[in-house]
Amino acid sequence: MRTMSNSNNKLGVEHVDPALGDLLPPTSNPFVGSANVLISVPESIEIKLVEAGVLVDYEVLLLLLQVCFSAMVGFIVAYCQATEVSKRVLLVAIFVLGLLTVGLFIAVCFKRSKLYQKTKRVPYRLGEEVKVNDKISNK
Amino acid sequence: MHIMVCWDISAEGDRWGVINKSLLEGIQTFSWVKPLTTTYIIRVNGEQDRQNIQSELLLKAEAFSENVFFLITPVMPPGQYQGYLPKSLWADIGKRTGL
Repeated sequence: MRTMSNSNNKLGVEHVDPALGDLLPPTSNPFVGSANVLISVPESIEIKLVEAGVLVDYEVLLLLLQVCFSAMVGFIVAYCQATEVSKRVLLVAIFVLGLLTVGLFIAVCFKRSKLYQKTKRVPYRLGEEVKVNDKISNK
Repeated sequence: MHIMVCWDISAEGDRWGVINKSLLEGIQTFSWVKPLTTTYIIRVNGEQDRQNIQSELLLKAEAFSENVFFLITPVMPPGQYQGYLPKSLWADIGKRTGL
C-alpha cells in the first residue's frame, strides 16, 4: 500500500496506492468536523509597488520638515517671551526657518504626488503568480 | 496545499499499464495518495510545483500515440474531503490536504 522511493526517502515523499495492499472497509471521512481550522483568505488582494528612491526622498524631506517646523515654533515661543533687544535676532531666525519650512512643505507635497504617480497596483489572487505587466513609469 | 490530478488513458491491457506507469513517474517526486483509479491527491508547495507537474505529465502524454487525457485542479488550500473510501485512506488524504 505504501511505497517510498529510495532517492526520495530523505524528503519524506510517500506514495499511497490502495491497489497494492489490504484495505479496511469503506467509511465516510471520520476526521470531518474534528479539529477543523477555518482560515478566511480574501480571494484577491492588491499589492502596491512604490519606487524605493522616491520613498526615501519623501521620508528624508518629511523628517527635515518636522525638525524645521518644531524649531520655528520654539523660536516663536522664545520671541513672545523675549525682551525688545533680542527680539530682532529671533525674528530673523523665525523668518529663515519659516522660509525653510514652507520650502520643505512644498517639496514634501511634490514628492508625495510623485510617489502616488509612480505607484504600481498589482492584483494578486490566491494560488496564482503575481504578474507585473507594465514597467513603473519614469515620469 | 495540494492539488488533485486525474487521467484517462484510451488503451487496454499491458499498454494501459505502461502508459499509466509513465504518467506516475511524472509525480514521483511528490507525496501522493490514490483514492480512486487514476485519481491522485498530491501535496505541493505552491503554483510552481503544479506547473512542474503539468509540464511533466504533458511530456509523458504527448509521447504516446494513444489518447491520454489528464486534468489538474488549481492549488487548493487545506480542507477536508468527504466521500466513501477505505478507512485507512482518510488519514493519508488528511496528511496531504491538511495544514
